[in-house]
Amino acid sequence: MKSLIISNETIKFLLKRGGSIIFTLIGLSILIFILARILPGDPARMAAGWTAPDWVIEEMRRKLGLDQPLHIQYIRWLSDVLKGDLGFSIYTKRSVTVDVLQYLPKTLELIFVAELFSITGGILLGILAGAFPYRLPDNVVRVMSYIAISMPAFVWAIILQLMFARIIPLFPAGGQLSSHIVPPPRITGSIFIDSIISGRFDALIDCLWHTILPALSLSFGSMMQNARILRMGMTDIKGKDYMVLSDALGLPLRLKIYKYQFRPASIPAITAMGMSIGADLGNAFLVENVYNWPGFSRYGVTAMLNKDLNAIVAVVLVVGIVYAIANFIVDLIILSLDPRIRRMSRSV
Amino acid sequence: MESLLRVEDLNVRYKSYRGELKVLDDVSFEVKVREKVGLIGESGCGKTTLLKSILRILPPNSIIYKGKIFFKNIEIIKANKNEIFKIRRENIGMIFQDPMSALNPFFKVKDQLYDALRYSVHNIKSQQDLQQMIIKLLKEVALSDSERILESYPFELSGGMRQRVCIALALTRSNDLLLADEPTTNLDVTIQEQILNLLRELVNKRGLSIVLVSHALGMVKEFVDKIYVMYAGQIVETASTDKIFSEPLHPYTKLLLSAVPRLTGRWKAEGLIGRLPDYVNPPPGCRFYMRCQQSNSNCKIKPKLLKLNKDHSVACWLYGDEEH
Amino acid sequence: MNELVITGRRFRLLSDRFKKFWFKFSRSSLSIIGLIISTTCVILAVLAPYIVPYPEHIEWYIDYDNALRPPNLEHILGTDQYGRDVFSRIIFGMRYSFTLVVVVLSIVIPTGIVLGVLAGYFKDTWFDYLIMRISDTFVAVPPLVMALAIAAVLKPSMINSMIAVSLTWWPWYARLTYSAVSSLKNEYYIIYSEVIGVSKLRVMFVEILPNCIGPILTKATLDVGWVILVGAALSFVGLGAQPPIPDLGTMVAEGAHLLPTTWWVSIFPALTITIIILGFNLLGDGLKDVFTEEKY
Repeated sequence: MKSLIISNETIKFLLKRGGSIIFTLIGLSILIFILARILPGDPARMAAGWTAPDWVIEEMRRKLGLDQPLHIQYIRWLSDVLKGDLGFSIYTKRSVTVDVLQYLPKTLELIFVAELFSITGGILLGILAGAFPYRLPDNVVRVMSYIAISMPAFVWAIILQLMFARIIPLFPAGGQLSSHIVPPPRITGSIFIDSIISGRFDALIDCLWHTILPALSLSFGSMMQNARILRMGMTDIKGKDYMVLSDALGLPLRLKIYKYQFRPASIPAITAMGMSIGADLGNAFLVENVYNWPGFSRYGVTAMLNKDLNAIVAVVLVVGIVYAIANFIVDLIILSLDPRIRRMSRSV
Repeated sequence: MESLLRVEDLNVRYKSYRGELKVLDDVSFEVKVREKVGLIGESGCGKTTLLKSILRILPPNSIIYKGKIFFKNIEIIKANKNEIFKIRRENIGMIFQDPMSALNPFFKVKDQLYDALRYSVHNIKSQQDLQQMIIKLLKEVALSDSERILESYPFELSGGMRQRVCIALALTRSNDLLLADEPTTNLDVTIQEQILNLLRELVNKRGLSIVLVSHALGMVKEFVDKIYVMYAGQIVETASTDKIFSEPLHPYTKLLLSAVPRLTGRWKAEGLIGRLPDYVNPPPGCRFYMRCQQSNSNCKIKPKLLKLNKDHSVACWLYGDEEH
Repeated sequence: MNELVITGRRFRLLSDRFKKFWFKFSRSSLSIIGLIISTTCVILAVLAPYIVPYPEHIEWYIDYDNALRPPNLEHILGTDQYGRDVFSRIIFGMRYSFTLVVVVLSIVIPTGIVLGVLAGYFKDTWFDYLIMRISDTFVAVPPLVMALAIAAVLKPSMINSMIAVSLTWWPWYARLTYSAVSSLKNEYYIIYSEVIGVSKLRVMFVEILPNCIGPILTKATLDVGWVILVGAALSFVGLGAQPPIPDLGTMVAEGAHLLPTTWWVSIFPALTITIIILGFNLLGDGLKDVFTEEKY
């Protein structure tokens, strides 16, 4: 990371990105707040239950502060959120914050494994296809990528589950741990990390075993998307003057592809990987349902089906924060790879 | 003098959605040892294609349809990978038209020079060797402040500096021949002269041959010994530099020379009317036929390059009568 | 007579352009496959009531005697748990999916284009910042999550899933047009037409906009698949069209409980979604090739 020596341009870039992330998150909070309040459906009535008499609803309205003007409500809500209080879930009958802390780590570990698949697979296939365009590997990757991208993640989930859990029972069909395994003591909420900390390798292996199918279902689409973008970048770069120069210099093929062609081509691919994390976050809502994964997205779907307003708002906000962090990391990686952003005063 | 590079009847075509673009048409071309050769002609007439086919770095949609290229008795078109790589690394260096895009913006100048030297004929034993060699190289292309330049990315350098770096890269290769593809076209006028002087100095000092492609006829005139005039993928005339400028024969050469604006005299540039023919269906005869004011019915048959005397050849029916 | 000649020439110009378009498009056999798949799907969906073998099976229909029959000659894709013909329901499901697409795209594209053109033309003014910050907010969460959340706040139904998808989708068109317009804005021919006093609206929508049509059209084609996907995903989790409407996503979800023995109930609708998306992806990529300038 020698290249990350902080220059003025770097600081400016980071401040700009950080600022825009905070700005966007504030915007997002206003948006979901307004959606939750303005769109048809009365939160007081939902909180009180459909059969509650009118005076109970009025009472509830006052209790929830819904009789106040909208901006006061927002400021109150925001200050609660900043204190870490996301409200009370009418479905789980607990604080939403507690729910988030319980479920989020499990989704994050699923996404993490899926990204591991999709990034490594995407890079390998992308280089393979991009280094030899219009040859056999490229054509295979292209056909594969069309199929993988066109098949929705929940279809992948159903088909993989059918094939490798039910017809050929290689993997478990759902859940995160087998019933005979005692869960590791809860420390962070992530089974991976907890079982490593407490030295419970049986739980770790069992959990990994359960993760493979859902992670694969999540990652196929984004993996092939990543491969496709990288391949496109590789072929674009291949035509550049500086690649013709490295040809003219007679540089060895390996050096040419892995250094001079790959680095520039990786920039759009890494941006695409950031986007694919978003797609995976969304698809987790479907895949967790198919595999009964006890994660945040399944919690979100349950909340949505039960009109659990506080939980829905929290889910959207948390997904927004996770997405923003992922994109910030992507920005950092791009910053370290692309000297033009690092060194030039007019940033790209 | 001994011949270094000989191109014989080279035909290069490009695949395109409209059909094959028949760009180079029976091009023959020769560079002798220590000879300075100029290649002139308007944009799009195939000069770059000719240079690129010598190193076999044509884009993938190209086809070498016919012809031979000999470099020191090696047939480049039939040569295997190792021979080609050897030539690229040891014998022929190339300078590109646009120094802005010829250097990879993602790597420091240092990296690119290191890699070029590491895979060259130079015998490098240690890191120190490499360092010294690079500094010597930069001095040779008149880049002082080598510390700063080595640590810079290409986009942090000026156009002239970048072209000097490109020349340094080419010098790591050219022990025999330097191919310079319009090395000054994309530079400021004030820099053009400097770069050309540098090139001349280097070529003389190292005893290289050079093929200089350029639009700047005035500069070519002072630089080279011999000139090839190209039109639409055909060599239309070749002669020593003096002959070309004093008694041009081919109607195209005459027009090309008269299109150059001059500072003295009341004389007005005529310019060329029309444009290059379509390469998909080029005229079967002389490709200049459509724009030529002296054309006759003979011109529908292709004229061969006719040797008028020791150092003057022309491909035109106006000369040499029935001989060919 | 003169007019006839002019019309004739215009027609020739048009047919020339079409020929060039077709030449570039048909270079890739994948594009042709995409065109065939997508037009077949659209035709099937449009003609659904006339071609399906069992139009009465679409919504409420119960025939337990024929329930869960595997694919056979009478029911080529089998029957579901209520004895309804899966093939007929899939064709109607496509009809619903395309309705969703048509409604969503005809809301989203004009809105996005107008906002994008205005914001791009008035770049670096308060209007630009306002529109672009709002669109940033909408894309701060992956589209699927946003659509799910909006659909959840509303009542699950066909109309509401259209609203939900539209609300999440407009920023993409706004951004696409925005970036195209803000770069075109500085082209000399645009500056000239401003200098000679062409009205701002005309510059925006007559001079600039037609130059952005290529990417917008490409994106719209690709989006046919993605809108269908999001619609199916919404109904898959139960936040979109409700049974007995034969929505493809709902059919997959209902049939998922019957796996693995009666696989045909959910696998066929799932494959149908995949094939539609595949068709439009191939078509969209074919168009992208046409609109991208030649390199050589």
